[in-house]
Order: sequence, then C-alpha cells, then structure tokens
Amino acid sequence: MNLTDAGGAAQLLRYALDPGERPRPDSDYRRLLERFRLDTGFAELTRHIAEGLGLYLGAVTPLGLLVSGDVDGPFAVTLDNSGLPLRSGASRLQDRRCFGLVLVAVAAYAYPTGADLVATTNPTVRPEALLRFINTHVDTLVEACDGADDELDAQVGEAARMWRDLPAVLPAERGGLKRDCQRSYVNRTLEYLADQGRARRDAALADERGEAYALNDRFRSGLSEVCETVAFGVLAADGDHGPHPRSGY
Amino acid sequence: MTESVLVQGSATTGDGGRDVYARWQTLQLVAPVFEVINRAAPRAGFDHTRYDLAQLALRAIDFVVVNQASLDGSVSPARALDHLSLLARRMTPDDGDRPWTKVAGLVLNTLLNDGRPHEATWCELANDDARWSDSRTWRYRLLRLVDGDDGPAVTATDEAIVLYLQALNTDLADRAMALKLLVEIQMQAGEFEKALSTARQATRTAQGLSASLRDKLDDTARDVRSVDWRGEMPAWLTSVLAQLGEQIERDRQLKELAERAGENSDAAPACRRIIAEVRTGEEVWLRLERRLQQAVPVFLAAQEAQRFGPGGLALAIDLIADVLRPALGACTGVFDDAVGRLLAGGAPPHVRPQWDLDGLCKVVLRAPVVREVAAPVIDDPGELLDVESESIPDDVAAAAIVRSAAQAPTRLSAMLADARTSGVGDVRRLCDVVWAAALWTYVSGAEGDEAPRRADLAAAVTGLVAVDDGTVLAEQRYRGADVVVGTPLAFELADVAAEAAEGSRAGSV
Repeated sequence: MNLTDAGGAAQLLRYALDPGERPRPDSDYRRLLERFRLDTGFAELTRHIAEGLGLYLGAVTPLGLLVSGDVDGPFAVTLDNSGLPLRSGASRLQDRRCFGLVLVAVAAYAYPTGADLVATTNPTVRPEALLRFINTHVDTLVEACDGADDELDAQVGEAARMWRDLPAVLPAERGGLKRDCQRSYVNRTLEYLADQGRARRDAALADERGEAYALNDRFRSGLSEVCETVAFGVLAADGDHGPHPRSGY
Repeated sequence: MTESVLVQGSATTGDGGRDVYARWQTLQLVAPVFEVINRAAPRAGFDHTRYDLAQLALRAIDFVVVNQASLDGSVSPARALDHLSLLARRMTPDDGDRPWTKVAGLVLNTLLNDGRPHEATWCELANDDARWSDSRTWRYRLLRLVDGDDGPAVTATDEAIVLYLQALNTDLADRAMALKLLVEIQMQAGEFEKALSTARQATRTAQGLSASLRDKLDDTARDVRSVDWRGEMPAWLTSVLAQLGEQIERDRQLKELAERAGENSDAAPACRRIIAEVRTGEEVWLRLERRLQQAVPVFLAAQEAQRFGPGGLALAIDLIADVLRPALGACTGVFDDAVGRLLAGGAPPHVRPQWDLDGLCKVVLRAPVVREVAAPVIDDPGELLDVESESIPDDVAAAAIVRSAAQAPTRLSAMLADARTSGVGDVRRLCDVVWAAALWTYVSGAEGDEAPRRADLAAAVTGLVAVDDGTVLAEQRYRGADVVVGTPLAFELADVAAEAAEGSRAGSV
C-alpha cells in the first residue's frame, strides 16, 4: 500500500459520505468500490482511515458503501443535527418526540420482522398507510390502559401521548398542512428520508392511495446493523419496569 | 430449486400430503391476480370490466422475467409501467377516459404489494385422535422492487418465474434438459412444428433459470445475508454448473440435427426457426455461464460473511413487538436513546459544514478583542489651498487669445484659428478653453453666471460680450453660432462707424 492507495481510500470515504453520490458505471466511485470488495489490503486501509475519522463502515450496496458515524466522533448523528426540520422554542420538544416516533414506526412498518431486513426487497411506504399503522398501535396501547389516567401515564410514553393529542390533519389557510398535525410529521419524515438518500419518491408507484416512497438498501442495511441494539435497549428498559399487565403490550 | 415453492414435506407428512402442499403453493401464486380483479379493480375508478387484468398481470411478470434474463438484467418500475400502459391501451383503445396508466399502475402495485409478501394460510389436517389442528402461513412475492445499478428496478422472484413458465413443481434445469430431449425426439419423428413449439418452451425455461440465478446473485451482492450460501445455494450452484456444459452440448447437437433435417425442403422453414430458437436458448446458457464465473467474488464474500462471520440476531427480531411497542410505552430517556441509535443506522453521518449560519454570525458579529483605531489624519499644508477644479494648464490659460477680443471684436472662428497656431503644448485643450470662454461671454450677461475660477481667465473674459449675427461656425469639432466676441464699447464704436459710412454713401449718391 502506498500514498496513492491511501488517497484512493480517502476518496472512497468521501464518496460514501455524500448521500447523493452513486457508484455509476465507469465512475471513480464504482472503481474504488470494486477494489474495496476485491482487494483485502485496500479494504483494510480504508477501514483504518475510517476508524481514525470516527466512521463505521457497513455493507457495500448498489447505492454505494454504507457508512455511519461513531457516537463519540465528529460524524455522530443525533436528532438535533440529523437534518430533521426541528423547530426552535416550545415546539422543539414536540418535534423531537413526534419525528422520533415516526422514525421508529417507519422501521417497524417497512420491516416488520428481521427476515424483512435481510430480504433485498425495497418496501413501499405510503404516508396515509403509515399514519394508520401508527395510530392503530398507539390506540391499542391506550385502550389497554382502560382509561385510567395514572395507568395511562405509567404505560404510555410521552411521545405516544403527544402524538395522540395531535389532530390527524390540520389544513393551512393557503393550502397544504400546518406543522402541528400527525400527517405533517409523517410527510416530513418521509421527505427527510428521501433527502438523505434513504428513500425515493416513486411517481410510478403513486396511485389513488397517495404518494409512494420506496425505501432503499441504504436504509434497510443501516437499520439491520442497529436493530439489535435498539431492540435490546427498549426491551431491557421494558423489562426493568416489569411485565405489562396486558397481552401484547 | 426454489425454497418456498419446491421444498416439500415440511408442512405435511406422507408423499400425498407433500404433493398437495406443493400444488397448493402453485395454486396460491395466482391469488394476487384475482386480488386485482375482485377487490382492487372495482374501487380503482375505471371501468374494470373492459380490461383483462389477469392477462395484464401475467404479461407484467413475463416482461420482468424476460428483461431479467436479458443482458440488461432488470427493468425500472417506470418502464414496466409504460409497457403495461401500452398493453392496456391496446386492450381497450376505445376507452374515452384513457385510464391506461391507472390500469397499469393498479396491476403493477398489486403484484408488488408495496414490498410486502403475499400470504396464504395452510391448514394441517389433524390426526383422528387430535382435538385441534395446526396451521402455518406461507409467504411469497411475485415481483420485487430492488436497488439496481441504474436506480430502482423490478425483479421477479422464483414464484413469479414458475408462474411465467406455467410450470408446476419442477426443477428448471431438469425441465430444460427434458424439453430438449423432447425436441430431439419430435424432430426425429418428423414432427417439426411440435419440435419448434417445444424448443420455444426450452428457451423460456432457460430464460427462467437464468433470471432465477441472476436474482440470487444480485441479492447476494446487495446483502450477503439475503441468500443461504451455507446450505441451499452451493448445492444448487453445483447442480447448475454440472448441467451448463450438458445444456450447451445438447444445444449444439440439436442445431446439427435441425441442419440435417433442414436439407429436406418441406421441413426447411420449420428447421430454420428451430435453429434460431435453439440459438436464443444457447445464448442464455452462455450468458449464465459468464455470470457464474463473474460471481466468484460474490460467493467468496458470502462465504466470509455467512460461514466465518458471527451470525446476527437481526433475523430473530420482530420490529413491531420488540421495538415499536416497547418504544411507545418507554420513558423519555429510553425513547430518545432508541431513536438516536436508529438514526445512527438509518441516517447518513452528520457532516459538519465549513460554515453554517450560526457560526458565520458569531464570527461576523462578535465583539473585537483588540479595538481597531483608525490612523490619524494629518493635514498637509499644501492641501489647504483650493485646487483649480478646471485644472487648465498654465500655458493654455496664459495664451492671450481671448484677451485680444477686448481690443477689437473678434469672431470665434478667428480665435480658434489663432489658438491652433499659438504653439502651446495642448492645442486641442486651448481650443476648448477658447470656445467655452466665447460661449460663456454669450450666456453670462443676463444669467450672472459665476466667472471662471482661474483668476487670469476670469480677468480675460470680464467685460466681454458675444453677439450672434447668424453666422454658423464651420468647424469639425464645434457646432453652433460663430459669435463675435468683444467689449460693448467696441461694438458701439463699430455700429457708429458703420452708420457714418452708410450716411456718407447715401450723401454721395
């Protein structure tokens, strides 16, 4: 390995960090990606550079090399710096909770089981269907509390309570939707995923049920890398609170 | 070959039960087609009775499979939609509402099923002494939306390929070989039309096998965990590789047989078509062979990931039960932590911009650490004097051209002629000054304009007036009246002299 190889490895990381970059045929990105797959030395060099930068290298997909930022590194992604359209002031907390809830719901809706995370099919998400999915689960959770306020507070998280208090849609005076409604959060989350190169708005699949967003391998593969820790985190906390006195929840 | 379609016996006991389960699976494959006809179409907002949606569904699968086995390897959703729209249009060209794109979208979306598997429930038969029976869900897909080299692509699953081939529970490679044997037998029996039909089936089988293998290799390239390279795939690949040589050799023999049979003039047209068909199939096999050779790195990567790498727990996770439901009930800290981890995997790394708006404002608007004091302005004694704004050179101003008008009235054209012969450095500038001075004397009387700033020039033009007698200035650079410049006294004297001369002329007359 020489300095040229190091330059190539760094260039590969540069391409991987750009969500809009794709390894098109005959492109430098494709050439470097092929080398990453076939040349063990080059792959190791790239991994070392990535580790030094605080990046974690994931799978090689047709959309490029998947990278994610270490929690402690300069590339760490959080709700605040993720690019989600969070407002400042009093609405910020609501935005954080609701966008977070929709993100978790997108993952569960598109990939209900681990097998779906391994299958290379790109699921289609329609805003209306996703909204229905979220509300079904939130309502089921709330109904299980039998209307008792203290139990509602204990068993239903703040995010779900905030979500439940929002209207489904809130038309704006000049058309479109105001921000403080469930549909707006769903729409904006899907738009965010599309902007970040994790989904694609597909006109060919849009029909009378509304717009369609096809999630891609980047989202699926990235999600499969972390779903174990996410599940472990929430289940461990769930276990600490003791078993829920209801079936299914 | 196909795990979901062809693996038998896991759900039932006994050969009879396995056979029923396999045929039941095949029967279920057409369920999505009837889902379109019976449930989706009546609500789709077009006259669905005029369209043969089942045929469109079958043709959609055909189109995807044929593209999958071709050099292109995949087809985009938009192209599939265009193809189906065209077919729908040809199906009912007289539909005034022109809902062909809608029809095509309905068929494609139903087959894709938003990426979710179609489901069918198989009920086990209980034993005589059992009080309850078991059931199991069989999940399958027909078309899938995947990430291709050139964007999203629609691919066909093995189940769709089975549907495309109109095949039951059959191994595709064995079927291809059997069909070729049948072609040979039919040709030897002189049944060339039947042989041609069988050859076409053999080609379709080859395309199906190629598409199936290509799908598996692409899936593995996309995600090494997606195909079981520990059990199913190596055995299947070994079988296909062993058959490839036989298939290509069999194609060669078939071509020779057809060429020999084609010497008979009656059979020649059919034989030519058989040869063309066999060649098409042969190309598919050769492409498949090349693709297998190219798949070695994919195979190695899958080996590394699946055989030597640690097995992930992701497969065992139910995201609804294990993530969504606990998250909805979780306290704020746990919820935030879960969302943060999800974002770390699902969102791209955060790349800090070199300059963001906040940072830029902080730098621009921050209080200076060292106060900047401007350098003191020191007056230069020389600058206290007024500067001649006209900046007329001394030699130009010193020229006594205008001053000569004070002695006797002089025409502007004469003064300009004197200026050109005065010998000053900038003749053109001198002419401008003379011309401007003459005009100033013409306009200054009534207006009371300010005198020139240079004292010598102001003195020269003081007391002068200009008279326009109608003569036009004949100059290239200047236009206007050729005024006569002089003192008022000089003009009066000139007038008196002129009147006296007029009087003496009249007396003599």
